[in-house]
Amino acid sequence: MEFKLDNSFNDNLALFKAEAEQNDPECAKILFDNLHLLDVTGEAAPGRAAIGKFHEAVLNALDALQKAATGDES
Amino acid sequence: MTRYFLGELAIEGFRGINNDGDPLVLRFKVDAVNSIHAPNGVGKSSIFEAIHFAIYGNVPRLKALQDAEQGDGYVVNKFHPGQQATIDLIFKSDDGTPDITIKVTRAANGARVVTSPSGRPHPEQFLATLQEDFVLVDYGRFAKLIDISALERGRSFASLVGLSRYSKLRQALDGARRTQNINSDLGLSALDVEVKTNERALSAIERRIIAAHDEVAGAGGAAIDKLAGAKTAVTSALSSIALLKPLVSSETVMDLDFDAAEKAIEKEEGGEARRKLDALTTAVASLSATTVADADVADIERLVGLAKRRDEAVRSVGAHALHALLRNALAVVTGADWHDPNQCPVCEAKGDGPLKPKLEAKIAQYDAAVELDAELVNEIATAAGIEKLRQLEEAAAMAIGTGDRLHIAFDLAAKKGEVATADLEKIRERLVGLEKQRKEVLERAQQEAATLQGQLPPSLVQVTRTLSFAKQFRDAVVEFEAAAPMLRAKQDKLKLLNRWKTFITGAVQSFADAEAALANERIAEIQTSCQDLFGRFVRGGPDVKPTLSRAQNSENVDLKLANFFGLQDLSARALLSESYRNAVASAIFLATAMKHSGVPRFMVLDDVTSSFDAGHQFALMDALRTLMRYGAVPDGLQFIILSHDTSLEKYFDKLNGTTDWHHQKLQGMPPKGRLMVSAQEVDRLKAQAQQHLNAGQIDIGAPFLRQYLECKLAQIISRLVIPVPPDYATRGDRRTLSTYIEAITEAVTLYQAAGRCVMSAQQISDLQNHHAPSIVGNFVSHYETGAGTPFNAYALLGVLQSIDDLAGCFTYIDPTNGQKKYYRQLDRR
Repeated sequence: MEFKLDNSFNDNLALFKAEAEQNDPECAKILFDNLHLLDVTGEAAPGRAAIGKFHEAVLNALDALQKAATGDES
Repeated sequence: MTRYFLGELAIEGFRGINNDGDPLVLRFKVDAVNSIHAPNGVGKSSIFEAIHFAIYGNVPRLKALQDAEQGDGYVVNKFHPGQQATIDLIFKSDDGTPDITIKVTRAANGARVVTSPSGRPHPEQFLATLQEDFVLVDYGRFAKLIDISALERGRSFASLVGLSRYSKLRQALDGARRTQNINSDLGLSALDVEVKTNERALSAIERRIIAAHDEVAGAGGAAIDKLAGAKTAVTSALSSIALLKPLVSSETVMDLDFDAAEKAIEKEEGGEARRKLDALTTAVASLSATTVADADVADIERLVGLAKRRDEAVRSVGAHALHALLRNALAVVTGADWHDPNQCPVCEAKGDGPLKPKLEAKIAQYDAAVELDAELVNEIATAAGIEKLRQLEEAAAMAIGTGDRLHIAFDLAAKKGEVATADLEKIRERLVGLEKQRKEVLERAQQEAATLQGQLPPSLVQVTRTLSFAKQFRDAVVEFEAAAPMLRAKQDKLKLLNRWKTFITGAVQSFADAEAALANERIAEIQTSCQDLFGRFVRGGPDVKPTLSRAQNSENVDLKLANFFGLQDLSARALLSESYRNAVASAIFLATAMKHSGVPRFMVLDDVTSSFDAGHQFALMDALRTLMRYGAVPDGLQFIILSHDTSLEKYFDKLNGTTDWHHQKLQGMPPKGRLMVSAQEVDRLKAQAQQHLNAGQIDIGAPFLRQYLECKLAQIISRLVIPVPPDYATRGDRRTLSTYIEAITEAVTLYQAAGRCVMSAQQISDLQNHHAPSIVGNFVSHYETGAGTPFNAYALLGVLQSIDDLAGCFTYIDPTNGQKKYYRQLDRR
C-alpha cells in the first residue's frame, strides 16, 4: 500500500482501510469501527488509557464475532 | 479547499493587554508582510499568546507552570475590571468566500467560550483546522527543532509538513499492536496459558478413558473421537458379567448405579477386602499414569536456566525499586511542569544534556528484565514438570498432606510473579524424590493387590477389578464431556485473539511503511527549497547543504550536512553555530509552510531573528517579502512578524507603505494602561486624556497624556526624519520624553543655524520659547524626576494644548486643498 502525497488524510485512510479489508474484513471492521477511540485528532498522541478503551471495544467486538460464528445468541 | 488569512485581531483583557472597553485592534494586509514593532515589555508576546489561546485554547508559558502556581489564573489581565479576556479574529478567504469572524472569550470563572458572530457553524472545529505547527512560531521553536532528538524531530516534522495526523495515528496503532498491551488488555497471554493447561488436563483425561476402556473391554478400538463406541464397548463388557447383567441390562455404563453394583458383589463375598482391592486397583492405575519421565525433570531444569537469566538481567540493572523510581523520574522530566529537562528530579544535579533519553535507556534495561520475568511466569504456568509435581502431590495414593505440598506455595508465588530460582531448584529436587516415592508406593500397592487377589475368589477379583475400571471410565468420560466444550470455546477465542494480533500487527506495519514513504516524499519535496532558503539566509556563509532523512522503520528524522567544507554527511546539530542552526530551522519551517495546503494561509513569527545579526535579519525579511509572500508568489503565505529589534524597526519603517509591506508600531503602558497601534490611536489617546482630566481624574488622565505626548513626538521625529542619536533610544524609560524633545529642538536649532530651516520664524520662536518649555516645565520634568509641584488637571489640560501647538509648529497649510500637512523634512515641504 502506498499513500499518495496529493491525497487528503481521509483519502489515504480510505486506502489503508481498503488494504486492511482485503487482509481480514472482519478484523478491519472492528479496527475502523473503533478507530475514533484512539482520538487521533486530539492535541497529543493517545495515552495508555485510550489504548485500553480501544482494546476493550475490540474485545467486545471479537466476543460478538465468536458468538455469531457459533450461533450463540446469549 | 478554501484557505484563510488573518485579517484582523482585537484583544482586550488578555495577559498584558488591559484595554478596558477599548480593545487593541490590529489590521493585517493579506498580500503584504505585516510587521509589528514594540519595545520590550509593551505587549508583543501577549499578542502572540492571544492568537495561540484562540487557536489552541491554552497559553504554553502558563501551561508549563506547576499546578501550584495556578498558571490558568494569569490568562486574564489582572487589572481588567471585568476579569474577562476577549479575542476577536477575522479570517479572510483566498477564494472570495465570506469572512469568518470568531470570538474567543475567557471568563473570570475560567470558562472558554468560542462563538462566531459571522455565523460560522462549529467555530471550535474551524480553529482546530488552523492548528498547524508553522502557524505560530517563536524563537524557541526554531531553536528547538535542531537540538531535540531525532525521534522528537521526526514527530515535530510530521506535524510541520502536515503529517501530524499520520504520526498520531501511527503512535496510536503502535500502542494497540504492542504485545504487552494486547496481552494485558485482551488477556491473550493468560488465555494462552489456560488453554495449554486445559489441553494437557484433557489429554490426561483422554488417556485415563482409553486405559480404563482397555482394561474393561480389551485393548484396541478405543479413540476419543469415537467415544460413543467406547461407551458401548464398556457397557457390553459389563453386561457379559452375570453378576452385573441385571443392573446393566437397561442402562449404559454412564448411568450405571455403581453403589448398587458394589453391593451386589459384596452380597456374593468379600466385603472389606473387596473394597480395599478396589481402592488399590485405582491407586495402581493412578500411579502408573504419573511416571516422572526424564523430560519432566529436564523441563524444570530449563525453567531454572531461565530464572538464572532473569536474575542476571535484574542484577545488571540494580534493585527492583529503582525501576519505579526511574519511571517516576521520567514522568517528571517529561511533564509540562518540570522546569529543566537537564536536571535530575531526584538529586537535582544538572547534566550536560536532556535526562529523558538516559532514563529511557535505563528503563528499557529494566523492561527487558521484566520481560524475562513475565516469560518465566508464563513458562511455569504451562510447564509439564510442574504439572507432574502437582499431580503427584495431589494423588491420594501418595498420601501427602496439604501442608507438605510444595506446589501450593509455589503456585501462589508464580501468580504474584515472585518466583525465585531457589524455589525452582527445590521443585526439581522434590520431583526426583517424589518419583522414588511413587515407585515405592506403586510397588507396595501392586503387592497388596496381588495378596488380596490371592485371598479372594478369582471370579470376584476379576469382577471387582472390571467394575473399578468401569467406574474410572465413567468418571473420566464425565470429566471429559464437561471440559471438552469449555476448552473448545477457549481455543476458538484464542484463535480469534491471535487472528486479531496478526491482523493488527500487519496493518500497523503496512500503515507505518506507507507513512514513512509519504514523509520521505514530503521531505524530498521540500529539500531543495530548504537548501536554497538556507543559502539565502546565510549569504556569505559557508556553502553547506542541510539534508533531512527519515530512518527506516522509525519516525526519526536525521538532520545532516551534505557538504561541510568538503566533508560529507556530518551532524548539523554538532557543527553549526546557534545562528546557523536557527537559519536551518527557519529554512525548514518556511520551506514546509510554503508546501502546505491546509486551511491556514498565514504564519505568525515572534522574535524569530533573535540570534541573527542585522545582515541575516534583512536577508530573512527579504526572502519573506520577495519569495514567499502571498502577492509576490501565487502560492505564498501571509506573514505577520512581531519584533522588538531596533535595526529591523528601521527596515520596517523604510518599507512601510509600500505595496508589499505593512508596518505597525505599538505604544502603551501594560499591564494597567492601554496598548495601541500608534498611527491609529493617537487621537483616541488625546480624547481619553481630555475625558479623564476634565473629570478631574488626574491619576488616570496623566498616563494617557504621557502616551499622547510620546506618540506626537514620535510622529514628528518620524515624519520629518529628525535625526535621533542612537543613545537617546537606549536611555532609561523615564528620560524618553525629554530626550525626544531635546532631539527635536536641537535639530531645529541646527537647521536654523545653517539657514536651511523650512519652519517660519514664528513657529521656531513658539517652539523654542513657549511650547517646549511649557511641556517640559509643566509635565515632563516633574514626570521624569518626581520633583516640583504636583500636577493639577488644569495644568495638564494646558499641556495637552501645548502638545498640539508644538506639533502645529511643524506643519503648513497645503494651498491645493487647505489641509494642514507636516513638512517633509526640516529643510523642505
